[in-house]
Amino acid sequence: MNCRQAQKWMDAACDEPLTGARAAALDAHLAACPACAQQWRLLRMAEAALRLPQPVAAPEGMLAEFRRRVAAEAAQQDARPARPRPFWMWPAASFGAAAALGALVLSTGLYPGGARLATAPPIVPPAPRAPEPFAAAPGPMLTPALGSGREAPPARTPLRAARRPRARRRQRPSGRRNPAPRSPPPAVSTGSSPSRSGRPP
Amino acid sequence: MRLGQAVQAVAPTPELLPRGGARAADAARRGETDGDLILSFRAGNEDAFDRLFQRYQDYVYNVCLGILANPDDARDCTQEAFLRVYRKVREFRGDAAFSTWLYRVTVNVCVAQLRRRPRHAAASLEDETVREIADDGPEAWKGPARSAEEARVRAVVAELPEDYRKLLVLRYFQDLSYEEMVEVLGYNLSQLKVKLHRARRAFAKRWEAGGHGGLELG
Repeated sequence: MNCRQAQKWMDAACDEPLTGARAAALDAHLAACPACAQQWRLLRMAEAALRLPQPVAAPEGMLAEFRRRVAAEAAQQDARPARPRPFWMWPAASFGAAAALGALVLSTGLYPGGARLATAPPIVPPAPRAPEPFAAAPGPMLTPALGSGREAPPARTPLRAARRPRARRRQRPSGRRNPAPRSPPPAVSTGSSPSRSGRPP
Repeated sequence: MRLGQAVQAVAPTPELLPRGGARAADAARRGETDGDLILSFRAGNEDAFDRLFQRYQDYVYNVCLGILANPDDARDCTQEAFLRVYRKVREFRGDAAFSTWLYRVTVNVCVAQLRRRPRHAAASLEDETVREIADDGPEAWKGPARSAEEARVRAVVAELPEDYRKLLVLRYFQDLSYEEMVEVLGYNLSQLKVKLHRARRAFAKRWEAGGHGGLELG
C-alpha cells in the first residue's frame, strides 16, 4: 500500500470502521510510515474534537417572538395599500389607448379608404351606414364585394369578412368565371327578395 | 490501537444527541407525527405549528449556532427559518420528511446570513478566562474546560468556508446520517463523502495550527 491509497482508506475509516484485510493493511502501513501515522492521529483528533460540542437549548421566548413576528407580518400585509401602477406601464397604456382610437377611426370611415382596411377587432362598434336603395332587405346575393368601390358592411369578425366574397363566388353559375362588376341596383326597390329586386323582370 | 477501536472511541455518546430529540420523542409518544401537525395547521389550527416550533426549535437553533457561531445571529436565523417554513408549509407536499425540509431551509438561511456578513466574529463563544483553566491539566477537563474546548471547536469551524461548515455541523454537531445529509444538501453520496473528507482535513489542519493538537479522546 502506498501513502495515497492509505489516505483514501483513512478517510473511509472516518466514515465507517475498516474491517478485515483492509484494516490490517492500513495498520501495517501506519506502523511503517510516520507521515501517514501523524495524519491519522490528526484526523482522529479532529473527529474527536468535532464531536465535542454539546447541543444547547434554544433561548427562552423563541416561540413568543415567532408569534410576534408572524402577527407583525400579517398586519403589515393587511395595511399595505394597493400598489400603484408602475411607471413603466404608463407608456404601454398610452400606446394601447392610441391604438384603440386608431382602430375606431379606421372602422368608422373617418379615414379615407378606411373601409378597405377595416379589419378592426370586434370590440369596435359597427359604423352607421348611409341608407341604400336595397338596404330595406339586404341579402347575401346583393352584398357588394370588397374593393368594388362601395363601402362594405361591417363584419363581425375580420375572418368572416374575408370569407364572405369567396362563398358568394361559389354560388354563381358556372361559366362566368369573371363576371363584369355588378351594376348598381335600380333606384326603386320592390321590397321583395333581393334576388328578384336586382334583376329586370 | 486498531482502526475499529479508534473509530469507536470517537463515536457519539447518547447524551450528545440534541435535546430537541427528547421533545420529539415526547410528541411521538402522544401520537402526533409531523404530518398530523401539518394537516392540522392547514385546517386552521395555529397551535399545531406552535407544537412543530417547540419540537424543532433546538435542532434549528443548534444548526444555526454551529454554522454561524454567534448566538444573536443564530437566534435571528432560527426565527427566519421558521418564518419561511410557516409561509410555505401549506405548499409542503411531503416528498421528504418535514425535518429534512426544515434543515434545508435552515442551512439556506444560514448560508444567506454568512454571505451578508461573511467574516462575522465568532469570539462571542470563546472566553479567554475559561481557556486558561483548560490549560491546567487533565483534571480540569470536565466542566468549564470542556466548555472552553467546545467553544474552540466552534470557533475553528467558523473559520472554515461555508460549504465545509454546513457539512461538519450537520454531520458532527447534529449527527445526521449520510442519507439525511444527501437529502438536505442535495449532493449525491460520493460527492458528499469527498466534500466531507476535505472539510474534515481542513478542520484538522486549522485545529492543529491553532495549537490544539493535544486533544485526545479515547
